[in-house]
Amino acid sequence: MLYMTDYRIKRLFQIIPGLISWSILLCFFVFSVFNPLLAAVILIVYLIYWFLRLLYMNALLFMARHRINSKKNTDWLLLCQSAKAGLDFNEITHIVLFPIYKEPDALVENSLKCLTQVNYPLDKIIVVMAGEQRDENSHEKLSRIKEKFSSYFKDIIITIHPENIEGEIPSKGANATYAAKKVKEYLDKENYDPGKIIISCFDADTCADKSYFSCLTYHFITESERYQTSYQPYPIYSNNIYTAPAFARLIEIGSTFGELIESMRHEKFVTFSSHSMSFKTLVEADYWPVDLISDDSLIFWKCFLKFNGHYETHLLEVPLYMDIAVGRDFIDTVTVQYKQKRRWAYGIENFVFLGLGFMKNRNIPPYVKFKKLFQILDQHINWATWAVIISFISPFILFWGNILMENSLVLFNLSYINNLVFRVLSLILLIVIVVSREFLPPKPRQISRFIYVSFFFQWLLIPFVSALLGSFPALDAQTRLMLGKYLTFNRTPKEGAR
Amino acid sequence: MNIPYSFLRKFFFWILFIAFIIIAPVSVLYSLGYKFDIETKRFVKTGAIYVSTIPAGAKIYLDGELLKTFSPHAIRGLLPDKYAIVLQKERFYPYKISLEVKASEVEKLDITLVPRVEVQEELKSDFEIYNFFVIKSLLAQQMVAFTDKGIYLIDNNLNVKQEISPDNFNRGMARSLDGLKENNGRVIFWNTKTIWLLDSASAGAGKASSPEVIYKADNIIKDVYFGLKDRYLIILDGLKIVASDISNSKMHYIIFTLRNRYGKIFYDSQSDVLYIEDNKPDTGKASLLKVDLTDVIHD
Repeated sequence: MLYMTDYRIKRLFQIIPGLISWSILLCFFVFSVFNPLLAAVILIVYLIYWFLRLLYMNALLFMARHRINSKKNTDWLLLCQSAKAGLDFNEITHIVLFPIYKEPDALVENSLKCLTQVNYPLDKIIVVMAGEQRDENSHEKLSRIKEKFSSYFKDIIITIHPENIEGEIPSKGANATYAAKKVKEYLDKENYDPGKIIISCFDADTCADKSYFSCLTYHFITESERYQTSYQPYPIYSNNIYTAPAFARLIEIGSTFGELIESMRHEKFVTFSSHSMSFKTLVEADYWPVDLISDDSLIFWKCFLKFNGHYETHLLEVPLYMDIAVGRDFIDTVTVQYKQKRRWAYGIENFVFLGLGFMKNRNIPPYVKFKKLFQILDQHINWATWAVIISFISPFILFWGNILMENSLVLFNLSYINNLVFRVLSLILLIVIVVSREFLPPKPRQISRFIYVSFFFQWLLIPFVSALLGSFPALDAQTRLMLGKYLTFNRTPKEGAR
Repeated sequence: MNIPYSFLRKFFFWILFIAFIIIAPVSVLYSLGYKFDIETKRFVKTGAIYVSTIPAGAKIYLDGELLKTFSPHAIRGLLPDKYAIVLQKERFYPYKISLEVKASEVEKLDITLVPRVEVQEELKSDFEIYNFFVIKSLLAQQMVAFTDKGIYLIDNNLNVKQEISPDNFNRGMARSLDGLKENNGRVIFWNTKTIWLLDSASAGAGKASSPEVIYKADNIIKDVYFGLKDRYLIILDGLKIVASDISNSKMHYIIFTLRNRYGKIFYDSQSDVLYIEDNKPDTGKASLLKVDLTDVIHD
């Protein structure tokens, strides 16, 4: 039980992000109404800041693309076999953990089928299918799947996470932790060395690239700080890209680009979605959080605290392929996407977790603590505010200002700067559109070639999508945290069209 | 080749950070209208003029000096003062104006240039035109020309399309016409004695059509309106205001008699209300009367 002061401090950390975001938006709005000139000046600075920031992010994107492309034809398996490293490639065993809750059989089977096709010895891979007790017939379903694939891998383990365990919330993290603890018992029984085990926690729809495990193993065995490193591939949401609605494709391409951009900023790069790490480290960090939503990023911060700030995430130059979240129809897809983005934005709970953790940790220098907290706040506050300011507040300032002060030079120039910035960004967007083509898988035969026209014009949706499915979910998540209306884990349905 | 990504990243970051440090304050000062005056070595507040013309692409002269750009264009960095602007475009009259520029303000000049008439097209016939009116039928906009040789329909390219003269047409009739009105494809035109009706939809469609006489005045026709759900003509004939059935030219109703022979009427077809300028019966002074033809009489 938390002491009152601990509780208050926790609430303070929960309130700060939402308070800052709403304060920024409200200040902008109030200034727009009562002092449009001041609002216009602030907006000019803001536009220039964002323009330069987008240029910087594009530069990082191109660097990341170059880095990936330069490794595209690398024979990672050969590198593993010939590496003179601290660990022998043959000693490494992989655990691939799939938390599964109500995903259709076909989806899970497809992921396992992808796994059978990797360019890596399958007898070094142990698959764990982690079901949930609250999913009826989970054990039968997973047993059926196990039967189909058991001959491929070293072993397939099924775990069923009991419901209503005290101190847990129904979440992927809780399920994964339960499964990992069962795996530990299995490994101890079979006398495996946890230091030579790499665990990959995959979403149920994750298809690993053929070179994934060889690339991962190579990085692991050659990395000197292998136990203080997480390994993050870049996600490509391409499994159903040709059948998903345009706006959903756009968001997920943005997510891929976001991960690539973050990967070039290693001090900010944290684990996201499907990722890998040493099993030994996972045990030492006490597994994934069982009472918080953002298990994928929080495991990084747990390790960061555990190792007193000496923990990093490294990019793997191979992708994982996943599904774009879609619903039954257009409106349902909008809802599904909104909820998924809100859950991702709920990663702001990292700020709370880290803040409380830093208060108890005396070994991390203060400037590191401040820097990390600032980075998280900066990322999430920008996420929650930038599209609202650009899409709504900026036009409002121009509209309202022109009513009050038709001849104002500042407002006139704001309009000019606005147009100039958007024209230049449109040019950059053209280049980004071309780059995005590289992440497209081959088009299925039954899909018409006119789909590429849709792929081109989908980028016109940016102004609507960035606010509706970018800033609004982030504001929603921060507001819930601020008001104490905590989010519960919402499974993202992935049974859309393939 | 190993690319030093870390170095490149830091390089871009610092370049763009320095760019922000420089560009942001410069942009703010620029937006507020500040300019560094080399002569006085001080920052001075300036204003601007935004010039836009219809059509675009006009040359802009500022105090006699030709600027290098064409309209639409914003002339920035102007010290508060009066400036003479001349806008010139080929085949248009030049536009001259004097504007006062205030600090931190932009004067917006939105001008429609007047074209010079250089080429005129002529009617492709040798009629003498006494009068013409433009009517809009279902098919197209066209003109009704009253000429010495008859009444003709003419299209937008000044091509004579069709003669629509009444049977007893004469030159005097064409010259004496006072007015023309159109309503739902029907055109009425009149002189002081007669009102004709022409179905313009039929005429526009090329069908044979000739105006018919629908009213002959007792006195002098001064004004005509479509009224009473457009089924009647409301005619000021001398002192009488007459409602004449369009479909049955024999049916007329005198709905009002003026006291003042100089009185006027206006009919609101939307609401079927008749406004009359006439003398009051008690005082004899000119006043305005209102008659709601679908309701009671008001004064």
